[in-house]
Amino acid sequence: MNTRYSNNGDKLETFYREKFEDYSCEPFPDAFEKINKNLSSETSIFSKINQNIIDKFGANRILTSLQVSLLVNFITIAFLFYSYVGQKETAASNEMMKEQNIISEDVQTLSNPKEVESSKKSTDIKPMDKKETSVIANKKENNFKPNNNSHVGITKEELKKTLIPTEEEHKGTAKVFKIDSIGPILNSNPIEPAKKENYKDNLEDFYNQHAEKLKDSTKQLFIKKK
Amino acid sequence: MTKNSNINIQEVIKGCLLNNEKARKQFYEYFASKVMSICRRYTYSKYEADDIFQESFINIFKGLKTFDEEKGAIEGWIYSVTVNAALKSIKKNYSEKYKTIEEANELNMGSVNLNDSLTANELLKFIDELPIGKKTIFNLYVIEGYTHKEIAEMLKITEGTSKSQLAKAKEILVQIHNKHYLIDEHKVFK
Repeated sequence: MNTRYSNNGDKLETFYREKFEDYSCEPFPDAFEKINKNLSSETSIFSKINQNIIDKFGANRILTSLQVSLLVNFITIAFLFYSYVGQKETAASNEMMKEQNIISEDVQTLSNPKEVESSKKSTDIKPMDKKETSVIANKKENNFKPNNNSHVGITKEELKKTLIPTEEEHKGTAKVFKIDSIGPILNSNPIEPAKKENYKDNLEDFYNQHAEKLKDSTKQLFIKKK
Repeated sequence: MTKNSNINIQEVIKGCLLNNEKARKQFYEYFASKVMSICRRYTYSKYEADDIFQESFINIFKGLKTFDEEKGAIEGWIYSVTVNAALKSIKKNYSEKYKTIEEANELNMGSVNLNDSLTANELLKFIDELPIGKKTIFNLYVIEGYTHKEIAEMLKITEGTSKSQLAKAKEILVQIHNKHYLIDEHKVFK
């Protein structure tokens, strides 16, 4: 042993010290092999894992270095595959997010169509009925022919032009109305309804006025039929 | 240590530094039993000792390049590495709290009957009856020869605690010793 003892003359201490001076005890049989393995495999982490497996599970489950390397390779490949799949999943999830955004926009459109239309000029293709199409078509035409005189699109002059036939037209067609001739018709007084108390007198007057005319006309009809 | 006493330890160390397996084997055989005895003293069973032994030798071979022969003999360095491994294991496996024992008194050695026929193995059994803290301090101070100051630094305790723990350990050992001695006397009388 070393020579660093403080010789304090303690009987018990000296006794124990002397007894243990030459004391030695043998280590377990394969201790060196284990130590050596541990040291030589220090550089290889895989061998270290192997050693740990041996230490933990005993001789029955010892893996050969080939098995360990295969295991490690498998783990590496699995890890790489996992990372590759992870990347793909991320890409897929991004796509999903985009799609979800689109769907949510559509849902928003369905729930609040006005808001959405006002918020963005819709590029959606919406089926339209004939009326709408014709209205849009007219609007478009009007848009191409802007008219400052009237918001309706036709001025009074134009209306006159269309309604009042030219001289040539007038000669050819007798059915064309002049705009001036419509006015008196529209403005003429309608027949006032007869008052109840005067009804009988009115009827008599009406009969007296037209009786002869009716007699003549019925006579004429009778003659024509014959 | 006695197995290959003819070997040149300097050459063996050089071989170990070059990762020569044969040299490593020689080095191991030269120091193994001594290292194992240290490990055994700090533990309660051979299994615990085996773990510390393996750990110690790995540390020794790994740290051999740091050994400076000008600072001291290789044996002292090896024992220090082993003791450190043992203390590390104790710290890991036991939660011993070193308390300063006020009532520990100086032993009256006149009443101690030391049976000289007792072997180291028998004494080891006595030491095993000590609690881990007292056992560690007893080993460090009495067998390894560390001072109370050094022990205090190693175990992060005060010198007073180290002294009182040692005194209590010795008291217990004397009791055990006397008990054993009386039993032996009975055997003699019978």
